Amino acid sequence: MPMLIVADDSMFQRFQSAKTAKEAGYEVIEAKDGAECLRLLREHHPDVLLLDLNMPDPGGVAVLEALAAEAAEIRVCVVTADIQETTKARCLELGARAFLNKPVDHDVLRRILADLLAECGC
Amino acid sequence: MSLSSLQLDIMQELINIGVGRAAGMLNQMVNTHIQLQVPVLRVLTPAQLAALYATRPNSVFSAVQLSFTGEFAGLSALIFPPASADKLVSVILGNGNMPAEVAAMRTGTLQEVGNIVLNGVMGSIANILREPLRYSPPDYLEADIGSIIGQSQGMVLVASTQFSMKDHLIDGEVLIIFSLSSFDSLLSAIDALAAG
Repeated sequence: MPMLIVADDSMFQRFQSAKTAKEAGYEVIEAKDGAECLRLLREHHPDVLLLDLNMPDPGGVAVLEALAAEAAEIRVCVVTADIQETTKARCLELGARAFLNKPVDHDVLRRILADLLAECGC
Repeated sequence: MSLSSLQLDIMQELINIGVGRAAGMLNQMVNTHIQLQVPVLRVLTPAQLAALYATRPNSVFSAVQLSFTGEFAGLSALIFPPASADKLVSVILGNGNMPAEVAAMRTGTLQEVGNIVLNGVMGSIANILREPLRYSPPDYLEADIGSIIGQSQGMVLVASTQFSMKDHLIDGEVLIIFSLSSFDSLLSAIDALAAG
């Protein structure tokens, strides 16, 4: 089963995203901050990461930077309340495959998760 | 510290645009029309602001705070009377959708609503002024207004917008407080926008 990590300090958001990802056929692991996210990424090497940006240290951008350096093959979809154009540009520059603003449109998230699933051939 | 009428007009319009965007986000979350009032801008001391809120029927508010830094820095807060916060949580989570950790979920839900709404306001302003902001993770607290805004010295620019969701009897307020140290940078960015 393809694996997905949802990293978000909001329990509410993790609950919602994990539900959509499980329905899309993923095994889901949750991380509540950047440090836990990095540890779980290194331990489980998932297929997909749903990544919040504004989390306790390190934040999502730092996680993206680390991934770009050590595991660029993990497909990242950023899910954030930050609507700044500069933030989106930075995330895409660091290799994020998709950038979704909160509140999450779950139909759009479902489509992205299906595309990423097809892409990784799992 | 005073704003020219043009600076005031631009600032008010920026906040109006941002609150409009935030209302769109809230509307998507609760699936109901959000009614907005025109934002009110004031330059006050923290003590004056606290005194203003002390006259209200509710002295304790549910608040989500989002601190921001960048060319200008400050604190934005989304505040609700606690009863409205409770109604909002039940509307968003709905029945039968609540995990075991009810209290943590209530806080987490309000924190995320605040995060989304405040990012809607501050992100719009940052996009229009072309001044990127960095945010701290949102904090949730239930306190009087003095504790929410802190006791810093000097004057603060306070923008407040009332909103309501008539179908659910929910009302609240977006309160944005710009700290004095960064006020000049904010005005410079507004002047640059006015100059085209």
